[in-house]
Order: sequence, then C-alpha cells, then structure tokens
Amino acid sequence: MAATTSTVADGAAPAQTQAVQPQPMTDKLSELWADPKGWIGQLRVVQNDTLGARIAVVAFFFFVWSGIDSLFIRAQLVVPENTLVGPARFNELFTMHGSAMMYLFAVPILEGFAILLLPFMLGNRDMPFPRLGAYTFWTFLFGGLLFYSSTLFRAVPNAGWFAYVPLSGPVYSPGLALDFWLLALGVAEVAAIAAGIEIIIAILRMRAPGMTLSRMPLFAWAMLVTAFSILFAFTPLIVGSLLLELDRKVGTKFFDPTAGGSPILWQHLFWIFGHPEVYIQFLPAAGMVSMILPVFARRRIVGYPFLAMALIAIAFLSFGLWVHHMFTTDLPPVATTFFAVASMMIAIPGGVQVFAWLATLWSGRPVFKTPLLFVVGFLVLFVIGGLTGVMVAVIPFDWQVHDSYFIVAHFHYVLLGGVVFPIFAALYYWMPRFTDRLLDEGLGRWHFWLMFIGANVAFFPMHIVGLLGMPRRVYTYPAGIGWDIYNQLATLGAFMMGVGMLVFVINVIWTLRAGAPARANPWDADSLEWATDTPPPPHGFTLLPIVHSRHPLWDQTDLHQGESRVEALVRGLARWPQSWRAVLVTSLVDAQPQEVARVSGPSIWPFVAAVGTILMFAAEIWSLRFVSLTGVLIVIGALIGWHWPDPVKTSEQEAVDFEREHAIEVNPHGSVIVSRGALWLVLLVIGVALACFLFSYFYIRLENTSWPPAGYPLPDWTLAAIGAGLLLLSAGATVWAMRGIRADKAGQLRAGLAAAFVLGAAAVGVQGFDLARVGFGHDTHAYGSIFYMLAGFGLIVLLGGLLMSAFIQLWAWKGHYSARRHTAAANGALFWYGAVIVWLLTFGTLYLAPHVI
Amino acid sequence: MTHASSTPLPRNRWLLIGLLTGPVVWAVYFLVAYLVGEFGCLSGALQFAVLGVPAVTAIVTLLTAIALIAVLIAGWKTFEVWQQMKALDDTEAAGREQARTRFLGFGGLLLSGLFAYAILLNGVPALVLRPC
Repeated sequence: MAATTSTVADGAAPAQTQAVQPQPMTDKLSELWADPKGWIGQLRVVQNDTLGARIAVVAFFFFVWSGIDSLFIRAQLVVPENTLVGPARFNELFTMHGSAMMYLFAVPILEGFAILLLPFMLGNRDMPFPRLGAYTFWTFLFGGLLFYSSTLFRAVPNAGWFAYVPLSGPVYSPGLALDFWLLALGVAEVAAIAAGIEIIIAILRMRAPGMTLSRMPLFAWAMLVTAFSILFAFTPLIVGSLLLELDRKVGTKFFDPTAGGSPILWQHLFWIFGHPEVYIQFLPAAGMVSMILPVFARRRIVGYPFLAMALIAIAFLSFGLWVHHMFTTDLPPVATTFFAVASMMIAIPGGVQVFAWLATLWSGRPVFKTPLLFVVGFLVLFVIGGLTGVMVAVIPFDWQVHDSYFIVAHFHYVLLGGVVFPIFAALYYWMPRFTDRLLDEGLGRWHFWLMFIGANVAFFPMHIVGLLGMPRRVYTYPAGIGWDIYNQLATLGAFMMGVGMLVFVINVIWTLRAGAPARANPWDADSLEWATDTPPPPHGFTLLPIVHSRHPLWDQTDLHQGESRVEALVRGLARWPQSWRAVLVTSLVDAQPQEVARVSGPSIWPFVAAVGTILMFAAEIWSLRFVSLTGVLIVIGALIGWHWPDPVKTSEQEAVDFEREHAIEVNPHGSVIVSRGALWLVLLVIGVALACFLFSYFYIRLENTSWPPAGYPLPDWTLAAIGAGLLLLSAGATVWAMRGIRADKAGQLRAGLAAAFVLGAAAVGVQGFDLARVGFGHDTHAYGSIFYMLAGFGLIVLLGGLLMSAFIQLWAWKGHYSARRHTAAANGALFWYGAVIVWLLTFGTLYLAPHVI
Repeated sequence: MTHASSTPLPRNRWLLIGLLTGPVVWAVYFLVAYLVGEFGCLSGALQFAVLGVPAVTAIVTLLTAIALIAVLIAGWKTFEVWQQMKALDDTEAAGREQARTRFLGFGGLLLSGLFAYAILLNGVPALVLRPC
C-alpha cells in the first residue's frame, strides 16, 4: 500500500488502508460468530451487527408510523373548524406522534446505530454484553408493539407525550389509555437503560490497543456521554411513571394535592428526564455529524478537543435545564432563573461545535454527496432552532410563548434538524458499509430537498402563528382570525416531507434489490469501521487493529503494527480461541490490553426475560396480578438461566499457556473488568432511583404544613434501628467472607455469606414486622404513599441482594470459587454493600426525618 | 528531537479528576443552590435575613464562591499540565502518553473555564433578584 502519510492538516490519504484478514482464521471465526439458523435461532441471536440493525429497523418503522400520525394532525389543521378528526382523536394523534418519536424512534435508533457501529469503530469484535443487547432489542420491540396495540383495545394514550397530572391521573383518565402509556413505554425505558450500561463499558474498556481517549472517534465520545445521560435521565422517568401508575392502580396519593401530594412533583420528575432526553437524542447525532462531515470535507475535523469537551459540557449542562419547561408554574424566581442561565449557557458548547464544523467545511474541499447535504441541512435547521431556544430561555419571553406554536416550531427545528437530518445522513453514509450497496444519489437529492424545504415550509410559519396566539394541542381554530395561511403552509410542508420520506423508502428498496455495488470504503473515510470487508464478517476483525492516530485509515499504512508484544497478542487472538467468542478488554485512558475475555454466544434467555418483562408490565394494565406475577417468575427464571455458568470447550491449560505467552489475563468465564464495571453502573442507576425517591419524599414534605400530617403518629424507630444494626452486621460478615476467598479460604466465604444471608433475612423480617404495625395505609394521604414507596424500594433492593447471595452460595457450596476466580462473589458482595446503604438511607429517612423536619 | 519527559507525567487518575472537576462541581453546586432556593423559599425556613441580607441570597452567594474557587483551582492545575506538555515534543516515540496528557490537560482547561463561567453567571441572579 502506498505510504502517503498525511502530515498536513489538509487532505486524506487516498490509499485505502485495509485491515488484514488472514483467510483460514477468518472463516473459522466467522463460523463461531455466525447467527444461529432457523426460527428458534432467530430468537437466540446476540451478535451486535444483527441486533443493532434490528433495533434501527424497528425504530425506523415507528418513525414512519409516527410520521403518518403527524400528517393526520396537519390534515386536520389545514383549514379552520375542520371535521376530519374530532378532539378526542386529535388528542390521541399528537400524543402518539410525540411519544413514538421521543421514546420509540430517536433514542432506540441511535442506540441501534451505536450497537452496530461501536465495536467496528473502536476496533473490537462485539459489545460487552451481547445478551443484554438482545434483551434491549426484544423489550424495545415488545414495548413498542404493546404501545401501539392500545389502538386494538380502543385505549389510545391521549394526555400528551408528557402526561401531566392531574389529567393523566385516576380521576381524569379513568380508562386504560394512560396505563398503556406508562407501562408499555416503561418497558422501552428499561431497554434504553440496559443499552446505556452496555455502551459505556464498550467505550471505556473495549477499544483497540493504542486508541487512547484522545484518539477515540467523536461518535464514541458522543455515545459515552449520552449513555451516562441515559442512566441519569431515564431513571427519574421510570420512578415518576411508577408513582403515577401506583396512583392510578392502587390509590396512592403522590400527585393528589387534596391528600398531601404534589402535581408539580410529576413535572419535576418528568422534566428531569425530559430535558436531558432531547440532548440524549442530539448528542449522538452531533457525534455522527463529526464523523461524516470531515470525510466529505476531505480534511480532518477542526478542533477535536473542543468538540469532545463540548459533548461532555452539553451532557452535564443539560441536567440543569429542566425547569425551563416549568417557567409558568409558581416556582421562586431565584430558582427558575438558575435554569434560565443554564439554558443560555448550553448555547456556548453548542455554538463551539457549530463553529468547528463550519471551520472544517470552510477549510476543506467539500464533496456534496447526499450525506453532506443532510449535514448542511442539519447545520441550518439546528442553528435556527438553537436561536429560538435561547429566546425562550428568557423567562418573560417564555411566559408569552409557552404552550403556543412558537414552541412547536422551536423544538421541531432542533429535533428534525438536529436529530432526524443527521440520522438520514448516517443512513446514506453507513448503508454501503453493511449492505454492499450505495443508495442512489439522484433520489437522495430529491429526498433531501423535499425534506429541507418541507421542514422550513412546515415549521417556520409556526413561529409566526404562535406569536399571533395559536395555542398548542388544539384540534381546530376559528375562521377569520388570521391563522389560516400559516396552517396551510405548515400542512403543505408536512406533506412535502412525507413525499420526501416516500422517495427515501423507494430508494432503499430499489437499492437493496438492484443498486450499484459499493467497494469497501466508497467515501475514503478515516475511521476503523471502514477497514473490514464489505459486508463485514460477523466477528468484524480477525486481526484486531492497533491504533496510532485519530484517523487510522488516513494516517496508518499498516493497521496491525505496533509494540511487538501487542502485535503478537493480536496475531495470537486471530488464532485462539476458536471455540468461544473472545474480545479484548483494554485500559480506560490508554487502551492498553488488560484481559482476553469471553462474551456470550447465542442464547434464548434474553428473549425469555423479555417475554417475562412484557407480561409483567402488560398484565398490570388490566390489573391481572397473577399474570404479572407469572411474568416476574419468568424473569427471575430467565435471569437464573442467563447467569448459570456455561463451561467452555477449551482446556484450562490452553488458557494458561496463552496467558503466559502474551502476559495477559484470560477469562473464559467472562470478563472480570467488564462485569465489575457493569455492576457499578447498576448501582449508579439504583442510586439515582434512590435520589428520586428521596427528592419525592422531601418535595411531598414541602407540600404539607405538618409532618407527619395531622392524625399520623411519629414513627417509632426502635425496630428499624435493630433492622439497620442487623444489616450492618451482615455487611461485616460479607467483608469477612470476601477476605476469606481472596486468601483462598472457600470455607470462610461460605460461612460469611451464610451469616450475611441470615442477618439480612432477619433484618427484612424485623423491618417487615414493623411496617405491618405502623397503623396507616398507603392510600389515604401522600405521607403514607411515600412511606410505603420508600420502604418498598429499600426492601426490593435488599431482596435482590438476597437472591443473588442465594445463588452465589449455591455455587460456593459446589466448590466453584477460588482466589483466582470469584468474580460473581465479589460482585454480589459489592451489590450487597450498595443494598445496605440504600436501606440505611431509605429507612433512616422514613423513621428519623419526621422527628427532625 | 525526541526525548522522554524529564518530569513524570501526571497519573491518569489525576488527569481525569482535573478534566471532570469543572462539570461535577458545577452540577453539585447547581443542585444544592437550586434546592436551597426552592426548598428554602417554599418552606419558609430560609425567609430570614443575615446582616440585612436575605438568607437564601447569602447562602447561594457563598456556595457560588466556594464552587468557583474549586473550579478555578482545578483549571489552574490542568493549565499547568497543558503548559508542561506544550513544551515537550510530540512524536510517536515520545508520543502517545504525552499526546493524551496534553489532550486531557487542555480538555480540563476548557471545561474548567466554561464551568467557572457557568458558576459565576449562575450566582448573579441571587444578587439581583429578591429571593422568594
């Protein structure tokens, strides 16, 4: 290959550097990593290429469905006093449109892209938890289908995509529609969190050797901060949805102001999710733009450190904006102004990104293929939306335009421009990678111009009609007040976009049947996902790449050259193991190889767990307790099957030989680093949930003049203290148990875990006894509701720990653990400590706070 | 000219701490200041004055000062790291460690600067507006 290493800022090396794929080993690895056949095989697929594509395709179908809903909305509003759909149906339409776009399209499709692309981009073979990825897919699919099945049951959600109480509560929405909204989307939310955990671990610990943090593709930076945001944002939504569903089903009073609850609490919990949600959608899109734009500008991206830091800054700042959706509620001015300030501040990193992109285009030699057209369209639309965003950050201005079409215009500019356009750019850009075909350029241009012009024709007039006073979510408007022309234009624009979408679908179908074949790197791109054959084999890289640059395919003539130890390692990994799927785990900052670990092959358990999950949630819609209990048991059974040790076919000796030859730890039972990392993230999610419950507790306290409320006794903390004491002892026993196994004393492990289990069960018994005699229920006042909610949370987390401990003890008694190998026990211990802390904070608050505040 | 650095490079842990101090301090400060404002006002617990200054104003201003100082210190440290790296050569031989150190140092500088500014601006409303 020609050695045209570019040292000037301008210009890509035209020689297409390819990863070497020694053929015999490639064939063996392809066989090992291939998806199983047959329809049961389809249910058992865990490999990231297939899963990522499946998630993206399903999400795209929801996008189309939701787009059709929007056409009905616009058809109804095209003329005043129209009778195409009535008000009830109209409420359903905008609810379904918004909810499907926000929950079932934008986040899932980007997660699908991430699962598909990241292992390639990072130079590894799969995601760290293939079965979790499969679980994400099935729960997402089932959740979305359950959501849309509400139509069959004539219970279509109709309270908007944010379901404000009291409209969404038991009094004003007595039917099943809101239960569909809460429970079906709840399933999809769980899917998102699962994917978030996996993405973080993949990016932090599974990069190619040499891919330091400063050489990571910007899409990886974007997905990293996005995945963390998902963990911090989706958890409050799940908590809030749980509280609302309890209000609806079992009579709790979390959001009932006549019984000590607070409707504003729902708004807080929702928007703590809702605002970061839109950045969770925008950040991956920005990451994709940062990958695509330089390729078509034919130069390296300008300002890589600025772009990476902007992504981090936006992710953090986005959590300080949520009250800007609540400016018109009666919150103190000092508090709301903080959010106004942060809402303006976030424009700085946003602007930095835009300038970096413009600088790259300006100083490059742009090639205006369809992906670049969509990127330019993104820049225009997103900046316009960003400008109106800064306008509405000004509180008095927001008071004028809140709930008007001005806001509809703003968010469609930022979401359509900022998320949908990059998604289309990505589809045109990466489709040749995975399908061996290039989408047609001519049709692509038609698609772009119809979408771009249509978007502006649809949404620009909404600014004006909003300022003229047209409110949101109205199914019609009077004739003769001057709004007609703007609505007509908006409808025209919407249908233009619909035609554009049709052109795209035709393009895809035609291309897949008869399109021009693409060579391996048709865009002369710089990142690793272009380094394999087209279409890539299921395992991606036979010989893992060794990275020395941010732009490996532009700067490196040889992708497998580096320190001799690392070169030997990647050659070794191409040959062994051949009977289990191995990935390389690397260090966080410098991507030094640390571990060769096994990832899962095909398995039915994710599908079974998803079936159990959807049963659990769906049954609750109709309050079918026995069915939902069956769902719980299925999930528990699936988790047991999932974690049941699955021995490998290679001998212990082969692993030891490899370890010795390459001076690296080999873990055929699963990665120690990856599983520990994931456990920390699970604890993080539990911690965020705890914070939400505590926030709710104190918020409800704020709503009440006395605490406990009149007629409620001050809690007697004697038994609770005994329970807490027992748990602290159990933590001590666990520490002792772990010390034992680290010194290879399996007996001490067994004894310690058994003691901890008994103490933990005793604590549950003591606390449960006390809860049974507190003397008040959950459904008379918010005090009782939040009391039982917090108690339930503490109990459930601890019960999870007890269940884990039971299985670890079972395997300990079978002699499974040693000093060298006791990851599950260590993880279980860590979880236990977390559960003890959760318990102390929940019951501490419940029993001590009323005495103090 | 290639040479190994004569001063040892900062350990990765410190680089990451320097990188993330700005955003994390801002996040904690923001949450605490907001909760002080909302809970303090709505509950009436903080509707008193300290030396003629409303309690909420005083507390928020104090928090702003503390947060700002913390972030400025982190920013100064990362600036020193970055300066140290700029003076060294960046070839692949010396290279990978220096490059990522410089990147994380510079990144820390950017984030500290932005979030110091964010903290400062966030403190302004407390001085201007009547708190409750």
